[in-house]
Amino acid sequence: MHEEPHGPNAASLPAWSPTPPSSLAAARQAPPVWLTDVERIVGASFVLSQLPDRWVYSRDRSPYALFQARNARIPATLPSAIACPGSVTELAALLEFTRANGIPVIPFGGGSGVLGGALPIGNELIVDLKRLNRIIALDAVDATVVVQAGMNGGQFEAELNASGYTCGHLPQSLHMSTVGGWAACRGAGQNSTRYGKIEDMVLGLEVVMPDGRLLRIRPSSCHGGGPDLAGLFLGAEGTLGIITELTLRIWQLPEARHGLVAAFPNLQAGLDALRFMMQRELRPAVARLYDEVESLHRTQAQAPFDTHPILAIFEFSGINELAMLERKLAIDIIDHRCGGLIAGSDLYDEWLANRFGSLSTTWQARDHYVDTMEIVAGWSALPGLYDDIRHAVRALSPDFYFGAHWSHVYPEGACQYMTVRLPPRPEDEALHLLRSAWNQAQDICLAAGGSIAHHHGIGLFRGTCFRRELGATGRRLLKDLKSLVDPGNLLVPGKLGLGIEDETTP
Amino acid sequence: MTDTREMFRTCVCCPNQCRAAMSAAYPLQAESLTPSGLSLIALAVLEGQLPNDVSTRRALERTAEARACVAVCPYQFDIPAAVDRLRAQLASTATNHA
Repeated sequence: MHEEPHGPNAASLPAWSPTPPSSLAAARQAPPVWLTDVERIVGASFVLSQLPDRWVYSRDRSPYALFQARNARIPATLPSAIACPGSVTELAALLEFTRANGIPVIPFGGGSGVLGGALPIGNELIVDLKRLNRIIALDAVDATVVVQAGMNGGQFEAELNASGYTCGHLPQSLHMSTVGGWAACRGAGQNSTRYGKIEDMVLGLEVVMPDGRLLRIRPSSCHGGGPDLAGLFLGAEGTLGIITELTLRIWQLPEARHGLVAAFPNLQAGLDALRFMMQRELRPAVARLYDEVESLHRTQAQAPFDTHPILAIFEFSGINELAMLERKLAIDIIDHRCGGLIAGSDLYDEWLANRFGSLSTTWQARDHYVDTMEIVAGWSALPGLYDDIRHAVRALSPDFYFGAHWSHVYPEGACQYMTVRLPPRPEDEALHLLRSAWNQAQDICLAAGGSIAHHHGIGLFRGTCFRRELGATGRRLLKDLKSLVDPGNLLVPGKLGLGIEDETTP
Repeated sequence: MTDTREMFRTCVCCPNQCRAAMSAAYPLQAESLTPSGLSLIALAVLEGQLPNDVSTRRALERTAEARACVAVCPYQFDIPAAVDRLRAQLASTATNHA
């Protein structure tokens, strides 16, 4: 008899995990007694409880989960089962049942999160939303779309494109993520500098509350009364309710797209150029600035990057005349105000062709340890933040690769996206170094007045630091809110910093 | 089998870039039907973490939906074909028919 597999023991989970994995006995348990009830609600064909299915749903795309998955281990626990509702009515009935029976639940879209938000840590029931996967209505007059939360991002964008529209939300994970996942985690796409983050596109939404009640927030360009109820669910990562439908602002496909590649003599000149563009109200669809390390990978120090080593890639789009004018104004800023040079468009073309690809897969498959951190800060703080975090990470180990880029840009600041990588080594040592790098980066960010998360969310692994950013009153409010709508703590338990005792947070 | 194992391992590490190629019309939209999910199961059984039993082999039979992903795989892998070969091998060596 083959023994049922199990996850690592508590000691091997990263120390930033607030909840140790449940016991091995829990992983070996017989099918839950409530399984037939769940089958009755969503249909037996849409409930998965066999070991291989549970194995697949034990991971998300967090680096820690990947380090385990590549070695055929599970990060924490197996889910009890997977239910795939085919309608909002079924989902509502399911949540009514799980609440009545004290069954913890994790909603699951594409599983593309990188901070452990979808990881089962206590044998939860996974609710896969991907059968709710169609566009319900597209209003060409208002330029809005109503879409179900489980629709694949790539399929959503393709359907919009076929009608002459774009969502404007194009994350690297476009083809593996879901629309509902974008909203639940406040995602950002590569065109966010022009179109905003997902929360800037949401006009209305539908949520199934933890007790099965349906909440509809009426789609509107704006709301003038009361606090933003929709905002409660954007970024809540399913802890307050499960988003089932979104009404989003959409855009006509641009008439023209013009790329622009620039080379700067140093990082400060590049940051200044981004700031000037935003503060002069240019609207690049794409604005990407790379530090010297990340630039070198792409430019190979070919002229003009031999003397101006900092790479920036822009795209201006929309009505051709307007896009051309904005491109010309950007060139004036790059050239006249920031000492930059204009390079050929090859690197823009290359970026465009590979924009949804992953650079980390090959490293991860070869047992390197790759992780990413995205923070937000004002222009005045960013240069110091970059230097301080880079030095702190490198001081932990000279083996650390550290690179950064800035690709979500605002008039007052930007997202600093950092990649760290360690070569193969014992896993305990690597996890300790990665954890230390995270702690250092977040400490430095908070001390500089920045925010620790731009678009990856909080999940399991960023909970402690998120609570520090919230402060005592903020985390009390969030906890009270959670207790009010989900008194049994059954929806996505232990995530969003909600599974950590207050006395452990400074 | 080493090359096959490395292929499954790379697929496990890839952020599922082929996912959108799978039809939205399939009745069941489960992760375990994707190349990534199939590779996870395959790797686990190769490493002895999942048993070579009926449930594992049945899970590895569900390759039809994943075939749509082969044409867009960034690594030009044919994961469904590799899973089919593995399943045949597992069936021939299975000692546990439970």
